[in-house]
Amino acid sequence: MAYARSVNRLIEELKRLPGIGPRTAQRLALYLLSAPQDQAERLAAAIKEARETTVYCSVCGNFTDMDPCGICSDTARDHSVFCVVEEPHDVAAIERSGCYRGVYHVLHGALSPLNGIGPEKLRIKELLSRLEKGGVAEVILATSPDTEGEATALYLKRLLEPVGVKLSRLAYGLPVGAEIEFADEQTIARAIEGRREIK
Amino acid sequence: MQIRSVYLKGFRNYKELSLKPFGGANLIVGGNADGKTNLLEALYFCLCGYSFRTAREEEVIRTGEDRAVLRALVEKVEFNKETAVEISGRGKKLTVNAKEASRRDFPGYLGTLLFRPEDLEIGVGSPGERRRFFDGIFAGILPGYYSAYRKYIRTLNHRNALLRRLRGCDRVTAEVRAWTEAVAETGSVVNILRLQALSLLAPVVTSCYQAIADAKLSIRYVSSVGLAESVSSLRERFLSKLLLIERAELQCGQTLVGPHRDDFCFVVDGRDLRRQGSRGEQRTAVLAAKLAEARMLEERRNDRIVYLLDDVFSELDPRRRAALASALQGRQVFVTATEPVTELRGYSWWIKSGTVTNRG
Ligand SMILES: [Zn+2]
Repeated sequence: MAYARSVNRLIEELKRLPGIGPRTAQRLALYLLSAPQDQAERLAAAIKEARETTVYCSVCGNFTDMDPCGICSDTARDHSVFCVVEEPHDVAAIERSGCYRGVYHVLHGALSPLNGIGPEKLRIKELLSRLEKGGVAEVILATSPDTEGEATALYLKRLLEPVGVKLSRLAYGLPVGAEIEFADEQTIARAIEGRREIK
Repeated sequence: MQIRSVYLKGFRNYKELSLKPFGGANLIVGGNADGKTNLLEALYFCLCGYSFRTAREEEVIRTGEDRAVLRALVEKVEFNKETAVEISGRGKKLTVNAKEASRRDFPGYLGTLLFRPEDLEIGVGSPGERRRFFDGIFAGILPGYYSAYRKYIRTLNHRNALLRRLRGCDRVTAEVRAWTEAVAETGSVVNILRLQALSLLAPVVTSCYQAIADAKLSIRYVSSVGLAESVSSLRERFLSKLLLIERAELQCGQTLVGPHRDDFCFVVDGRDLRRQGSRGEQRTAVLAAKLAEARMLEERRNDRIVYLLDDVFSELDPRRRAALASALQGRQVFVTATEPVTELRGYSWWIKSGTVTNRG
């Protein structure tokens, strides 16, 4: 397609985004070029600001614009219950359900030997050192119910058993292979309330 | 379900072809390289949205053309579906009633019976061929089987990747242990579901076999883990087996027991047909299993399915030919053959180098 060089560059950048194919990238680029100037500039500024002000929380690993994050520094929350999730968007989904008052630990992934991801690539050491500080009564393993998430939960269960905290797993009413990210609030609430202790 | 019309353009050795198939038996007669199986492949494509012959689907594009186009009108009980497949250098496009669709939207999903000459050989083939054969049937007759199977295979692939990476190591890491547990967990589900599917399938196969051979056939599941009543007791058994051989598995870099190593065997009067069966008995057993699969698919869908048979009649003796022909009655069937099949009453299409030369 014969576009100006700068337009091609925009299309190329959009194509790198997850879920965006060549056709969608082209459509988005042409839309941004024909949209009012300030709309495009707001988008550019929003991306820039989010990137510059967002960091990982040094405690739980969630995205945040202050460190520690709002959840970790909230004294009204129950700091004796940890919910271990794979990705920041899982935190967002569980928070939307409004039924969880504990804190989180974000692993930033799940075990996946086919993609070369072992425990050393996840934030597991950080989890252990948080637990060593004491005061934790329960760890909820809220990794996805898919292959990688289940194996990660099995790994963590074995690792955390000697620590002596109560371990539980979400009661997934989710269909097999479903992601927490896309589950509705009620399903997540049921999964948390119905969580089972694992031994 | 029936195919009412089909159109091919630039597909394999077909430049362009339109067919209005008969509602009953359609015999596709031709020489070896005239394109009989190509036509069957095109019909399967229109019903299911993919090739049964190749994973590299660009190879169906006729030499010198830039794309292959297939269209069909498929009549179903509830409503008709117009399916289209287009394969070009840029990939494959599937549509149903002019809307973009996936394989699962295609009318032939769990509604097509494909029977090929190599199917007849699975009785004497490798355990892997028998597993593929039965797993294919189970996926169609037991809801949930396919996803459980897929989950197991993915877990297994992860574990094997890890074992390969640690190959030769002497120490079993906690990471390996986690994947061992995951394999035992997902594998036990597959094992139990196979037994369930077999308990549905076996009586139907037995009665189909009896109708052809007048003897009692049963099917046995030969599990490398063993058999148990529940998933949890099987999981324990599977896990302890894996823990025993974990070191050996680390040496060779792969998982050595599990549903991916199991086998199935046909048994007639106490004889395991894998070792003590005649060629005729083995073929009859496979034929009975295919007919049972078809019957169960029809029951599940509450509709007749479409049968695609690639050069199968010539492989059978007169008695089995007659049994197969009578099982096909009242169904829309496409049968390829090098010469007319006297047992089948229907319509014949003579094919020569990608064109229909005669019909009737
Ligand atoms: Zn935090």
